[in-house]
Amino acid sequence: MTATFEYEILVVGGGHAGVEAALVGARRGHSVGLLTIRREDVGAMSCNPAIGGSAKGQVVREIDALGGEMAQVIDATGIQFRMLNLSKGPAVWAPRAQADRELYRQETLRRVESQPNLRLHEELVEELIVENGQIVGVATESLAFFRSETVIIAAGTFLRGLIHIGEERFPGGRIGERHAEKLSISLQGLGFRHGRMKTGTPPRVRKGSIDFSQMEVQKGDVPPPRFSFSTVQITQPQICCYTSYTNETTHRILLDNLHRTAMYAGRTQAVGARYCPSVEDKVVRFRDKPKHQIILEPEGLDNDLMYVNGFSTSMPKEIQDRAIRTIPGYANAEIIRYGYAIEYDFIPPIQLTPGLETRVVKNLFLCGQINGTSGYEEAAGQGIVAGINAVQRLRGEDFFIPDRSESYIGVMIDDLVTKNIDEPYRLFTSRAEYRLRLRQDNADLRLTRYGHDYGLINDERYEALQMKEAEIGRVRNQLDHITVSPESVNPVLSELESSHLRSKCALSDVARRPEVGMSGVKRMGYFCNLSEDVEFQVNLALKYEGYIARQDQEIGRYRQLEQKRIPDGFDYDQVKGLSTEGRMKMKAIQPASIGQAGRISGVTPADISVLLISLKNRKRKMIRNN
Amino acid sequence: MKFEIEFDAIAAISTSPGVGAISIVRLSGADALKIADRIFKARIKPSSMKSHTIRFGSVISDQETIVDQVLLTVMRAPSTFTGEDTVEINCHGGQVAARLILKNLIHNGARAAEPGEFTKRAFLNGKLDLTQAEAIDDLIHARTDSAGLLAVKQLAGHLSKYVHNLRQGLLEIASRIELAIDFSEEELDPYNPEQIISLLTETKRAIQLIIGNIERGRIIKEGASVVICGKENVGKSSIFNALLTKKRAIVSSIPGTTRDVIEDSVNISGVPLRLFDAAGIRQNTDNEIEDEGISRSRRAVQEADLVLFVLDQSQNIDREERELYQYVKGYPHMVVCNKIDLISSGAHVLPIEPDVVFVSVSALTGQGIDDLTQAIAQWIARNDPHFFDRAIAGNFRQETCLQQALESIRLSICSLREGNPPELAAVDVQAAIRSLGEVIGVVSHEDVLNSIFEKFCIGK
Repeated sequence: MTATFEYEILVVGGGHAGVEAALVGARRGHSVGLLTIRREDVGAMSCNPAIGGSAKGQVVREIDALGGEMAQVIDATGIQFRMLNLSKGPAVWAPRAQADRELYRQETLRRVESQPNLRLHEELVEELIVENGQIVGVATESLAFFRSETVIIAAGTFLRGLIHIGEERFPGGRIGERHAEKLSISLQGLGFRHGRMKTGTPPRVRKGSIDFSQMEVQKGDVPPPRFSFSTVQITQPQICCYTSYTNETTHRILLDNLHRTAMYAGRTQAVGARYCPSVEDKVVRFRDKPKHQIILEPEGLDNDLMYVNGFSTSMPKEIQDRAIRTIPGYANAEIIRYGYAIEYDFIPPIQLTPGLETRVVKNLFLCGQINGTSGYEEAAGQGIVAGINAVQRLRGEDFFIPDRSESYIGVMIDDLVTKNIDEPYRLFTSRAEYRLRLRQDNADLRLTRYGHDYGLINDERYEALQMKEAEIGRVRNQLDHITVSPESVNPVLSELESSHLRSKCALSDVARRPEVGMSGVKRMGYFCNLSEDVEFQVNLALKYEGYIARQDQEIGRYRQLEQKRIPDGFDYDQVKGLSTEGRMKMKAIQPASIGQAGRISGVTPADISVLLISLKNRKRKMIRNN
Repeated sequence: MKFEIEFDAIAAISTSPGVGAISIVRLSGADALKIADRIFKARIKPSSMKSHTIRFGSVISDQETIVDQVLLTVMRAPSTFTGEDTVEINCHGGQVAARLILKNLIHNGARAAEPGEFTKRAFLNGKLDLTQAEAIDDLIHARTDSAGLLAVKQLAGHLSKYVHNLRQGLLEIASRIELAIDFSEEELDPYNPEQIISLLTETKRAIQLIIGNIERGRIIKEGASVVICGKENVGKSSIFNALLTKKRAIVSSIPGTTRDVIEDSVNISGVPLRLFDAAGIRQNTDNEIEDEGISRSRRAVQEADLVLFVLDQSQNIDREERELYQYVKGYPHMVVCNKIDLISSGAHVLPIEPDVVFVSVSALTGQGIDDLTQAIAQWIARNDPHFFDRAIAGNFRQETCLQQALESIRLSICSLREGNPPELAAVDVQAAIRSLGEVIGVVSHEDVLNSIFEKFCIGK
């Protein structure tokens, strides 16, 4: 050993998960070491130069409410912001932004390097050192030993990463970078089961080689919507994206060359995501579709590269060239970086507790793509939770386990530790049962208190939030208690083309009319000083009232089941009458509660009944024995 | 997945269908007393009653009308069969009153119990011997209680097949909605609420059809209820007896002899008919007992599958009969003209609805009774030659779930018509999918996503 370092928290990997985790630990005053292969790659966007989107945008807002980094970084470096789904209801609005890839990376690195208690090391981790079932540190390729009470692994796609471009294949964690082979072997040696997944990325083309006149222009929103609750203004200049379509010629070239890809030639068994297919997959699976949309996204303000969204491929380079040039506007396209597929090891996350700690090795946490997820936002969401829980472990306090009814992060983590993830996991709003509650606009109301509890949100921000919350409640309540008469409001109702009142009624009844809302109420002379933010929340409370009340009832039932805890190390073999499948699944997943057990596929309501009996008897026996 | 053991109240009719002086409706669960409070009117609320005491009172509907006069027993946990708070309601015999009370309970927050569920709860609450693990296992996995008949099982198979298909259809609709929400950035079929409304409307019709077919199944299994009604002394009881071909009702010429609803069953072309001989539905009498009988007759008419409205052709039609017919004609009915052995009064000016079957009989001589039997048989089959093929076996719980699904779909259609955004309609569509899933016992959150990935080209 040439050197020994000692930390309280060690984070392996400087991607979106690792950065959030490391910053949490350091901000709470613990010494944190962040190990990454190359310093310049901290905060790198391996694939799409964009943050947010449906469900993902909500996650970024949640990370912000918890005191994380991603929202602030994208606000500082975003070059096109849009709110998706504006034509639908506010419950499913989602912010999305194009990032300047280079600025994003620099900004992330700057924040990491200026963070007290946090030190960056360029190291390739090769081995996890475990004593008595507990992690004590890691050894690296440079023969350094890092001692640490807790270790968080956020290795992304680097574990035995293998890149495919046509018939070519070579090891790598990302194009042009090394992979982490020995770390994967070390994990397996410790008893972790692993699986193999794949993902892909499209080619990058030179901006000057593109004819934009043949494409539709897609602009950002004005003013640009922000991700962070504390961002005042978006300052980067804003740019456009460009849309065009593939055609029959493109498809023929791809179909003729399927046998030249690793996937179709059977050179890999790794599982890809159905929602993120390569362009060749799209053409094969949907042969009837005459064209597929391609969006050209700038990689940055001064960047000469553009990202060909929708054209993910692992075709040989010459086929990529030929196929892309059939698309209008791409006739002379020069591919600077070819698309590729990458397959990598992941650790099926049912081996984790809901706090993201591994069951096999104590004080070892896994987060991000190593857990079989895809997406920067999903990774960052896990990163912040892993960071918080490493701190909780150091302090001997209870884990933070976000709940399905409170955040998308909670939905994701529960899915990860409960379901057998067999394709790269991405969040969708439809994964959330309580979607009407989990909105981008109220992430602060949902989560700031946790951010404050775990020391990541300062008192000032928390107090402001509490005041806002109280104000919303007060206004909503008063609306029911203020009675308005026809004489007093009919003139305003006329202006708003809303039907006249015939008799007195509560102000809330008037406010509930879509054409009136809180802006109409203000015109009637009530709540004139209401802030925009509070007005929005009150409008929503009125609009969704019935539905939200119903969801709240369901949430009540859900929490009851979550509160029925199953003790650690519960012996399922002692329980008679469980179905074989149910028993096997529960033994593997070790659900923390009856609610979680019920979400395991293959566990039947009858299994749950039997389990309840058994838990009750156990309790009775314990009382008797005492 | 649904397993609200220990939380929700379950209810069922605990006496077996058939003739009996009383029926018992049982309610068990943490909310049992709260629910009982909502439907029981007496000097003292069930929730204030002492454990293991019984009270006389009325079960009232939401419209505050009296459903039945009953004896209600309160038994508090843990000294009950199930180990939970339990309420037992002793009501008047036969299925009519009991079914009405059960419906009322469900309307007020109880859930129709699964077969064997009371026993299951007794297990769960440690009231029964737990050492016999195998026995518990068998019981918990049992799907039907007594109805182990092969025929019933086959019919039940039909139901699950239909419901499975319906659920698939709804999943596809849900996936269209979710597609619009989660994949709005993809250039896919644009979100079209009109199209979704029309798909939902189709599903709604299909569920209604299934509910109708379950109704047929219920008639085959449990029989149809046929209520004989008419002014007093037109010979209702004689017709009742003639159909039963045995003396059952007390026949006398004193008006108002039949003071209660008398029930018996008879088999007509393979279908059991439950015949009810209802007291004359007159307005107020001076006799309190008879008044009670009359109000029960009205209910019997309301709940009947078929009403036989009996006239005495030897007498003139009077105002009372006309009024009575006004009441009856709102329900499925036939007109039976009795006493054709006597001389006709020649004054049958009753405005009978078109398409209503009219049969002339003499209960005394038996003339025309065969015609009546045949008319009833034809009516049972709804003049539908495929009546027996279409019938589906479904229990009350399944029917309730289907009704819930229907209601959810109705709500989602309303919501879309009002121009609400798709995520709101999605809440109701998801609820309908869950309700259908409960009928057949499948639940999965992944289904909608899988359906999206199969049907649409997603991903850039």
